[in-house]
Amino acid sequence: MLRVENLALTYPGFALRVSLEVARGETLALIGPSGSGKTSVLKAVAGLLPVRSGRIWIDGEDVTRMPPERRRVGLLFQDYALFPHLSVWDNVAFGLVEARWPRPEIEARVKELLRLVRLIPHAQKKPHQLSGGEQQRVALARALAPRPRVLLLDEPLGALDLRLREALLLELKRVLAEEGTTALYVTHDQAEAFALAHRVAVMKAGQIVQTGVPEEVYKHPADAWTARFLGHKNLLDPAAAATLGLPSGHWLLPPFALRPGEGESAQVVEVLFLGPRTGLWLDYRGVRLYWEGPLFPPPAPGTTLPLSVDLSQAVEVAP
Amino acid sequence: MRRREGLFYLVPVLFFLALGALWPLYRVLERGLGPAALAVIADPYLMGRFLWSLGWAAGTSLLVIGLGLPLAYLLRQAFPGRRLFIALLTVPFVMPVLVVAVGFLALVGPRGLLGVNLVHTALVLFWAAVFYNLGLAARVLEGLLAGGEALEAAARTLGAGPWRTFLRVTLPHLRPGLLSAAGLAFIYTFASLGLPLILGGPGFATLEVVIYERLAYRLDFAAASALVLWQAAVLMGVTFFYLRAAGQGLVSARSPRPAASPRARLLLGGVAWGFLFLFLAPLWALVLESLKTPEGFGLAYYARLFANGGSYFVPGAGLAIKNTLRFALAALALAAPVGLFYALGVHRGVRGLDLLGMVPLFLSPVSLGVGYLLAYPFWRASAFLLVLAYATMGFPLFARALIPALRALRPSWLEAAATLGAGPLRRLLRLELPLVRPALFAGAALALASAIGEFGATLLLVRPEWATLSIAIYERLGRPGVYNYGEALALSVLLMLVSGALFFLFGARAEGG
Repeated sequence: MLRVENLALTYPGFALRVSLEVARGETLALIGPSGSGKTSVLKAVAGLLPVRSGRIWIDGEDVTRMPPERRRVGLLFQDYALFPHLSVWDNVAFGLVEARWPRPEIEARVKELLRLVRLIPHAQKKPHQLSGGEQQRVALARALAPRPRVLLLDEPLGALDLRLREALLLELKRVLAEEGTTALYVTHDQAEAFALAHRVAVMKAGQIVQTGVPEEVYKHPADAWTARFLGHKNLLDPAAAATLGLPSGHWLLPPFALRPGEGESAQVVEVLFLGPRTGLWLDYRGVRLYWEGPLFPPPAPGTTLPLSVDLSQAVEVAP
Repeated sequence: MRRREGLFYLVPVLFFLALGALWPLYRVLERGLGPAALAVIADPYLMGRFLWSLGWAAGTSLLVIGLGLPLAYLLRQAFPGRRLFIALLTVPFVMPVLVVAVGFLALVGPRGLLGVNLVHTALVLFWAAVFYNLGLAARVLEGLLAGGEALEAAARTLGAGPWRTFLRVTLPHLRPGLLSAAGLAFIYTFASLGLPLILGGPGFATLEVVIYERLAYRLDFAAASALVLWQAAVLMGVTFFYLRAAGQGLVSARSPRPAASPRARLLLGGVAWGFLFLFLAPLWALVLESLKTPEGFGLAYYARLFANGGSYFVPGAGLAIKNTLRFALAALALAAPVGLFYALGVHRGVRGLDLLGMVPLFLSPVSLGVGYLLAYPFWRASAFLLVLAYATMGFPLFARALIPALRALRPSWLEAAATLGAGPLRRLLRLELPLVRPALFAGAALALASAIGEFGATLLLVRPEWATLSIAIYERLGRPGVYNYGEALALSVLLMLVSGALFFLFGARAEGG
């Protein structure tokens, strides 16, 4: 398992201070907007960034001052960093050669991983002959091959198109489960984090503002900024909250608190037809609310539709 | 690529090359092939010269990559004045060969600043050749190092220590850069006349020097032609090797690694600038020595240059500066359109064109001079011969600055222009040329620098009234007395200033884009 204690890094105009823990076999997603310091945490854990103060433990061993090659962590780079002069096979075998595995075992392990990421037919190709998705899977196999104690993933799906991302997300989840990997996953995409991770940690300007299981973090965001970052649209300021009959303060109405089809009439202001789902901006008692769900055919803007709002689902958030 | 469009690029380049390189080369082949070529091998003196030339060029290549790699690591670090440092490091590469040779005389010559006479030793020849090529090699390697840092990080997390990472990842990644730096150093050294002629003396004469002497002192066209062929064969092999290696290397500009602490930053800066101070010693020694006259510190040598006005055989400074600028600008006017046609044709994939453009690279300056003397005896009275030689040597430099810039243009820009109604010529004028403007200036700067500093071909083709600065310097070096030496120093400083000024005038515009 991985434990980071009071890790501090300072750049001009930016200070980072982070503590976190990842249990054995767990995937923790570190999410935050770009520039929040996620990648710096990852690089510090990998040993690629010198640490001024704080401690990093892996499996109970203090690795803070250890060079990267002795930490036995795997790092999946955003741009994959595949070695262009080596074949797919030799890329995956790279770490095993460094760890001085006997040749038959290297062969067995490389084969096992190439099978796991379904790349056996491409074993002798060079990285530039592969598609983006295939390169990503080679990078994953290469990082996993030496059985790292912790796998670090830096926006591994960031460079891929949407359709491929979904497919690889499922593949990544399967591979991490099959290998029983302890993983720290950095991304700016909250949906990716929710789908993949056992727990998520939200980072803002060098600090972790909230940690928890995805459902809990989504339902009870620490503050309005976190709520917005996680994709919440219905944040009520004190005036709007009073209109709806909530006690004074900042409130969050989760999407499932809104139910169209019954209750008071609300005016449809804007319609976003997304195919399987439809997004609606509604005017409800003078408050703008967003609802998204299966609705076909989508209503026309300007029409009204009945809407019930379950205020018992509302959550008070810090401003 | 339509056939007619291909001919549009091919014909002008072919016409120019036929005039500037192919016909002279044919005339050399005619004279040199056969018994003359074999007689050259049988001559143990000439064989010795040939082997020494190979040894000097190969040794320089090894030294350049051996020293260039640590220097490239230094360039990767952040330190005060890093950008200026990089610019100054490449200054020797664009300096005329006579400036460098006289600079070494000023530093370690018989009357040199250090008081140690290293002239006519192998040491000074290797030193001068490394001085020429080191900066460029370090810059190429620095770009590659920057591009490989992500790969190094990947190797480290996979368990490879620093040394193993260097062997298994960094070195293979650097390979194209190392090969191309070595190849370029070899070509420049092997084809250099100025350094061995002035610093080497008879003991260290290279093939290039021997060709010049056979022709200038004995008018032995047969032997000179045969030697040219041997030299061209070596240059051809190395050029192909170099271009293949260089094609694979990608140079990227990235920000340097931040220093670990402010103290480390200052320490690195101290080391770097200390090194540069020593590295550029021949240039500042030249300036310093040119001011040290028998009458004390002053401008006496410079005053003499302009006061005398020169004689028929010892050209004055005014005439030499005028000739140098005139010929160089005329050569640029010829090299730029040819280089543009060539670069566009190669970029558009005209078959065979890129191969054709390499021919001037096989011909050393003296070889080119031999070829012209054989091919164009009737033009001996025309300075056009000099301009043609400069343009033949300059247009590949111009084109090679342009081609990567053309390749870097996004095809979608041209497609957008086409859908907006711009035909091929309008696209060229409105899109491609404005977008590669910095490269046009960079190419022009390189072509100009090569023309201003040209020495080998000029020495063979020149007539007294066409004397350039390089020739005026060389004439004075061959004459006894402290004043001739002093005037050579002062003229070298002037040549350094002229080429430096023109290069930075054009270079600044190249950077601006």
